[in-house]
Amino acid sequence: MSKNRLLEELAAIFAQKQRQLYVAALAITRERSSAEDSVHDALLAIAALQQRPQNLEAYLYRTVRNKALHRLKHTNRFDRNINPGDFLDVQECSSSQKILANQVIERLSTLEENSRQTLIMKLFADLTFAEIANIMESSPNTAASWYHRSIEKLKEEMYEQQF
Amino acid sequence: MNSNSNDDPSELERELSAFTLVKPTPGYATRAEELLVAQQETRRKFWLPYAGLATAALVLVAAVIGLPKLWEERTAIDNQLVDNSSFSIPEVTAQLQRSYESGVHYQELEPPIPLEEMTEDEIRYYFSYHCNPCYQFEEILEEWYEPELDEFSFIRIPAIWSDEMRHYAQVFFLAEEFGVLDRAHGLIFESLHESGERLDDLPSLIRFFSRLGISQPRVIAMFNSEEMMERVRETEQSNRDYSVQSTPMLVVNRRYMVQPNQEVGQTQMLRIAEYLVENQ
Repeated sequence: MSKNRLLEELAAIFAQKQRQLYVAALAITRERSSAEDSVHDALLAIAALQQRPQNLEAYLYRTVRNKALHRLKHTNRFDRNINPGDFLDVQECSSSQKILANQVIERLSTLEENSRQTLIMKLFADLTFAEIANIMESSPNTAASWYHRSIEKLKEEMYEQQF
Repeated sequence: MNSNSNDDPSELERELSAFTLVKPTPGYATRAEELLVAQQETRRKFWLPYAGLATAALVLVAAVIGLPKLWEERTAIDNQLVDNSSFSIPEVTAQLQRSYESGVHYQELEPPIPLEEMTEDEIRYYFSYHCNPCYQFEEILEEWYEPELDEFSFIRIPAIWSDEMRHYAQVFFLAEEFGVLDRAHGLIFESLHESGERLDDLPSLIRFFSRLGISQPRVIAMFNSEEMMERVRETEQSNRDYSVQSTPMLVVNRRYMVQPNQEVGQTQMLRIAEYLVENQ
């Protein structure tokens, strides 16, 4: 397969899945610009390949997630405080909803990595378990299991804190 | 663990599903397009003999990428100001204005807050849910205050001089924050003076607000939040500024205090306040 064909395919996948790619990255970085950069990094990395990966879409998701993790690891510790406005769209929320959003964002850090990403993609981006499984290279059942575990953990965290 | 751990687990999910991830910037797709096109350009220069083919691919890539949009941008909402030009002065004010005297019907105060911060006339009403005269006063207030006339701003402020009053001030602010004060205010009074269904702890508050359509997570999140504590602190400061020691009490334009006494009944308090807004 020619290099140009690879780029065409890449462009076509991006056109179809740009939202999912962005969500996958944002679920890791929890910061908009880093998420966008992670997707761009991944596109560039794949465009430079000499051989087409067997499953280009899966490879793209994996590369996006790796790039996002890489960016997260290399973020200055002092810059890791998540600005809610760079993660969740809370502009039209009431103050109490914003407070709840802040509390949830704080507690997301207590969740295990896969569970956290699944919860973010399911709850805040409304992706299906099948879509999440595709991104996470897992099965829908496993994704559902991660999700339910994360919800229960989040509930415990929030209620124990408050009562 | 607490007693609420067995509650419907979907309530938190429902509440959180109201939030959505922040949308990507418009540059997200554009930048990706540029990156891929740049890659194509590099290839095109390298493969000059195949220039025609490369150009076609570029056009194809641009077309594929150019078609989709991420999300529609939100339409800006224009807030149109309502013309509240009508301004009426109750006739009774004019009739009674000569009879109101400082030191008898109202007290003049040293304003603790600079008057220049005020942008419109205001009447502050210090009240307590525990106060029976305040409960009775509500009925008179309901008929008297017509916000649509825009004559002044009428601000309810909980009086606080005990822990119990501080708790009920939080209940007031919860109702205000959730936008259900109109419905909740009377019910809170009734809970203390009629039904006996007190709202003294968080579980009872959760039950109370759930009947008004407010979910448990929102009540829990807001009740002990730093924002709530800040509002309580500000209210306590406001109570100290005006030395609030009894209720009901009105403060007009931060300068005059009106309280019931032997000369002033509850209805008359409102007439005096109107008179002070109009004449002082």
